[in-house]
Amino acid sequence: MIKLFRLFSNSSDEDTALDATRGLPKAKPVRILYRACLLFVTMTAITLGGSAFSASTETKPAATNKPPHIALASSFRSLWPTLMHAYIKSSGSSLPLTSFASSGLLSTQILRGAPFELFISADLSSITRIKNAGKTLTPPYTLARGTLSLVSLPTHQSSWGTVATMESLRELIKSGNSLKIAIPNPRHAPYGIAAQQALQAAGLWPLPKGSLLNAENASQALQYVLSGAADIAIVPTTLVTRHTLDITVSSIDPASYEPVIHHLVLLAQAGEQAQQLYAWMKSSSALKIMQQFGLSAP
Amino acid sequence: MNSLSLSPFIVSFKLAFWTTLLLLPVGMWFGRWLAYTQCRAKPWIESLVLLPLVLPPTVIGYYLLAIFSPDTVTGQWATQLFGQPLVFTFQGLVVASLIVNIPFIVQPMQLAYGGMPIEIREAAWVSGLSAMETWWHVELPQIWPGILAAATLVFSHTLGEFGVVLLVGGNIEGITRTVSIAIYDHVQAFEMQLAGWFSLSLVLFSLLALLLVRLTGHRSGNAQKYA
Repeated sequence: MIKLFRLFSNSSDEDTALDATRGLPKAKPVRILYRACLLFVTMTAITLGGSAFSASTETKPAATNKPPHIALASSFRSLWPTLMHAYIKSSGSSLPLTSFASSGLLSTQILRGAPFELFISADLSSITRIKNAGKTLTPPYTLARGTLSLVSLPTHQSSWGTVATMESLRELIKSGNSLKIAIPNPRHAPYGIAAQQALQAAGLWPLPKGSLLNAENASQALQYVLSGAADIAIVPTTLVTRHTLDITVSSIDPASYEPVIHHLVLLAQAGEQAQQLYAWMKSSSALKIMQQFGLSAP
Repeated sequence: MNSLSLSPFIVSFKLAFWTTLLLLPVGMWFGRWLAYTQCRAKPWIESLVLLPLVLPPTVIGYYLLAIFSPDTVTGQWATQLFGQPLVFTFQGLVVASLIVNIPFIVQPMQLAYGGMPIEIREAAWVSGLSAMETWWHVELPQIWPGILAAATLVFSHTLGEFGVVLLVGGNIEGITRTVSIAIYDHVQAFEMQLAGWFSLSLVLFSLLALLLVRLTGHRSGNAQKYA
């Protein structure tokens, strides 16, 4: 360290000697700048090197007043702002931090140690997985029942000109139209499994080669239609109930697929605020909002 | 919820800062070694160093998930070392980011050292300077533009990293949701305007960073080749 200091504050004649040695004179301000930067970097590295990691561990939840981390099935994206508006108004709590993805993906993340405190899934099996690993505090609570909708570009933009239904979809495909149909990936999205069942019931499964687009989650399936990448998407009704998007929506017969049931569970790392939100989600005022977005009581 | 939140910027800059800070000394040392070594395994080592550059981020993400997962032996070691599981935490993100950025620091440093005539060092030794003094007084002023280029590359590249961050970090608000993940998230939420603002900020910042490297390079005369 003493040597470093000596080098840093070396006298000017030493500098001149050096410049002569290497024969490449350097502008002085640049040299001072790089030395200052290097010294700064070294000092910061020494002082903060260890504490950096411990400092950022404070993001761990536990029973603090920090906003809770919530994992949510993508189908809850559209109603979540309305739900939280009502929740914050009634409880005065702070806005929870959210992560939206497919239920399967979220349960994998929770199994691998993601710091979520509350989980709203679109199926039971995702919750069973984490329950078996001992990562839940409560048994799964049946929150609401969801349905599917068929979404397509507005009639004036689509090539078939009328509102697409499962029946007209079958006719369109049978008559050789090559349509792109987006569904949430059935491998890890519960609404995707239901969408596949609905297509099976309509005699459309497997879809003609190149017709099926597997979206990462429910929200992305809708995104595919909005961007024009897909002609049609099968998505949770929640996403298109109170939308302002330029699309046409028709409902799919709920008898053609197994019901999608949303479950709520409190996770092992839940803090006080997560427990408060958990209790509120079970209330009638929460159910009322969920019903406004096309979910029904279980 | 529907407004421009600053937290992705904070996460991104924190991540880029720690990645650059931790990688710079290692990269400088390693780049120097690679530039001067006569080791026969050099082509192998160089290929290994460049590997993260050509591999899809999902491959790196997959291996990191496999290695860090609390169910594995390596994951348990990592958990003991850091006091908590690494996946879906900021620390895990830093570790992942360090690995992804290795080529972005080693390559410019190797080029910088390679571009410095060996005679300069020899002259310093003949003049009686120790190895450390030579490094400090002779080598550093020469490779300084290379260091700046490497640091800027790593910093900007970390801001833009997406695949590995999504796989290892998992889009958790305030912890692992970086700017690039926030853009993805806003697009999925149909908040195109917010996604647009985030994207524009990244474009502007990256442009400024690259411009900084170029301008500094022009001033010191010989840096263009590293950037």
